[in-house]
Amino acid sequence: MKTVTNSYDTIVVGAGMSGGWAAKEFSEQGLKTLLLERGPNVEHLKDYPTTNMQPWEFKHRGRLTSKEIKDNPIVSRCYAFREDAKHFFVKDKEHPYGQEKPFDWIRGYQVGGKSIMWARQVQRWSNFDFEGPLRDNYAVDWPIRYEDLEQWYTYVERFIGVSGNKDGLDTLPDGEFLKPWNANVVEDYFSDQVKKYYADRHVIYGRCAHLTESKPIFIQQGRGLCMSRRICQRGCSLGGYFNVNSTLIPWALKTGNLTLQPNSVVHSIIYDEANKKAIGVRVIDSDTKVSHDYYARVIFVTASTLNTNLILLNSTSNRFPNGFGNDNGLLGKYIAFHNYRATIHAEYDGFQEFTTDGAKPTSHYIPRFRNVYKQETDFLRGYAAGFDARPIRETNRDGFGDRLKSNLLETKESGNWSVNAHMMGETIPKETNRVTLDIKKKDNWGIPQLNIDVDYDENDEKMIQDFFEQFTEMFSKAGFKNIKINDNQRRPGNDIHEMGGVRMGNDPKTSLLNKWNQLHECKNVFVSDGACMTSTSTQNPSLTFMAISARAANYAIDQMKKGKL
Amino acid sequence: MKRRNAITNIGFLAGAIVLLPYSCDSSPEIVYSNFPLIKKRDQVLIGKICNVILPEDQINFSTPEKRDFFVLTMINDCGSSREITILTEGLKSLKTYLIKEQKIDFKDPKGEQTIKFIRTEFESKTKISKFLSLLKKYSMLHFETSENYLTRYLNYEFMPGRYYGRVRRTST
Repeated sequence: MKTVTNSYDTIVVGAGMSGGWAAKEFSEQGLKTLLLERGPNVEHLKDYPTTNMQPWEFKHRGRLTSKEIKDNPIVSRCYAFREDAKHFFVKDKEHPYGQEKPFDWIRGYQVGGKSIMWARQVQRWSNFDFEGPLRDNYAVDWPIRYEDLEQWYTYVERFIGVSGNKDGLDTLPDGEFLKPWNANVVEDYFSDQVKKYYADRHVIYGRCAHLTESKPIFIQQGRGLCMSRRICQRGCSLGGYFNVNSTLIPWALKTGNLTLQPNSVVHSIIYDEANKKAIGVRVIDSDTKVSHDYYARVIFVTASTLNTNLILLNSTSNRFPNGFGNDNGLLGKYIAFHNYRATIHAEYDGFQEFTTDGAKPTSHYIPRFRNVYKQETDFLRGYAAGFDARPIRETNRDGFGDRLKSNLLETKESGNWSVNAHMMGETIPKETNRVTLDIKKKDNWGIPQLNIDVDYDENDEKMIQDFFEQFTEMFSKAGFKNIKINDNQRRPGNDIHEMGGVRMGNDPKTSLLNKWNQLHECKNVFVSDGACMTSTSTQNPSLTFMAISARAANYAIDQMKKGKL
Repeated sequence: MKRRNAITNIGFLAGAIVLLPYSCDSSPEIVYSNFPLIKKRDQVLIGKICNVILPEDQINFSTPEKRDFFVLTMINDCGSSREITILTEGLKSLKTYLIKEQKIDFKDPKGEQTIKFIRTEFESKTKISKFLSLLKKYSMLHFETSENYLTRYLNYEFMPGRYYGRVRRTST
């Protein structure tokens, strides 16, 4: 029953990046907002237990135990699931799911979600990305273009802090940047070599969500400069990188309009058949398992890509027997991700007289150069790549006793450089890549488990081969030696960039959401996390999720003020 | 660990007075779940061998825990089943060898007999060789993650706060 204590202007489901942005916008503009999070609270500073631990203070020096690996075959394949940050990840047995084909679903169930452990790379999309599906005839046309999102990218960047260079590339629009860290000699060299041999390829500084300059807004947030500790996944006691916990949540709480409610598992959206709109959400207390209903005029579902799909699929009614807003039967379909399977490694014997000093929390980035201006390969779309170069250290570990000790103490940089690149490939959303509910298997809260049926395809395999060929050529032209390529066989999902299932589009027959992220069939329900993505392009998606979420929230606020919602 | 060392030292002093029978090592027996049959005496032996392979130096390269505890904890907690087999079978072979062939107590890590034995066995490609290599692997990890080694020899800094990418080497 609706009462004063369970009624709000807005309800936001999920306290990760997208939900955090929606909650911040609503609270800041005077709307009483309930932010629901299925996991526990993680309070900035207070709940980062390992943030100030030194390497030698970890019992296993950062490693996982054999039992942890055995008990968690999925999450232990994630690069950041290690002794120092494992407490922020969902363990396999806690929240099982079905896999029609191998899929690593990496999750962080807590206030802040995966923003605590994310890789912090933030690149804008361009119209080469938004116009991709229309030009290349896959998925559906995006209902928005870069111009629709540009001001929101700026809005988000100014608030979170993004370090970068203004590169002037049409493929990767510049943003509001704080100063970058230095490049090293080999990164600069490779950038020059690529420029020399390829007019359309660029090796640039990897834009990242770290504070390299102090500004009034960051001081107001209580955040300090990044000190390049490179242990961000533990949570940063300085607030040096952006996460929801240090930035959005405290900001929203200060308004007095936000009610943050952790340990609240959203079961479903409540639909009012008579008034033909959503009126609230059904929530199960994660500890007591008691169910409560909460009511609001507007509901934002931002529970992370696949959980947003799950909630909508589980929200059935007479009006929506196949899932909320799912009149066209496309809910849960066209899931896509990023292909991270290809890496390349080499050595460079130039610049022996130079080394580096200190550390930086980012590497270099090569924006997509394949099939940008025209179709030029036998596969669709393309890939971006990360690139880094670092001095090689050599340690002689021969012998034993005093000789071994002496050898270890003589460790030194050899003068050569290790150079590495990894592919971030766009995958094509397909109807067959989908999630469904397994009505026979339920979780601890009586909610059907998710069944994931997502795989690579021939396009991805061709792209991997092209990456190997192109980067072998680029590395060779730069004079890099001992080049080795590697298909690491990473499973879909291990990129932690799953997107889609509730895609945006112009036509209600072929999409779930309109250009403002409203469900076509129920305008007071918005989806503004990764589930809304029509295609994936190649850029790390979090910045785009945040910009889309802030834009959608402000549209909702405007419509509420006009009495249209 | 410093506290534990202090307690150990008190034990030594007290032992001299009251003639405690375990004057050589007063640390409590630890039971490792994956090799519960490796008792205190064996643990002490493993610690001594680790010390021969890579001398522990708690003054210059202090660590929060003693070498034998670290090595055995790592093998017990993080080691593969293969490594646990190497440890248990290697120890068994070593003990048999020591009883039958030579009575080396490894007390003096630089003793001629000790050095000769370790050198010979490292090259033997036997169970003992694999056992020694395993102890060496984790002994090196212990040493190379000590505060002093990380900061002085690997340039580790907790808060560098800077990055320079074009630093000329002082010597190459």
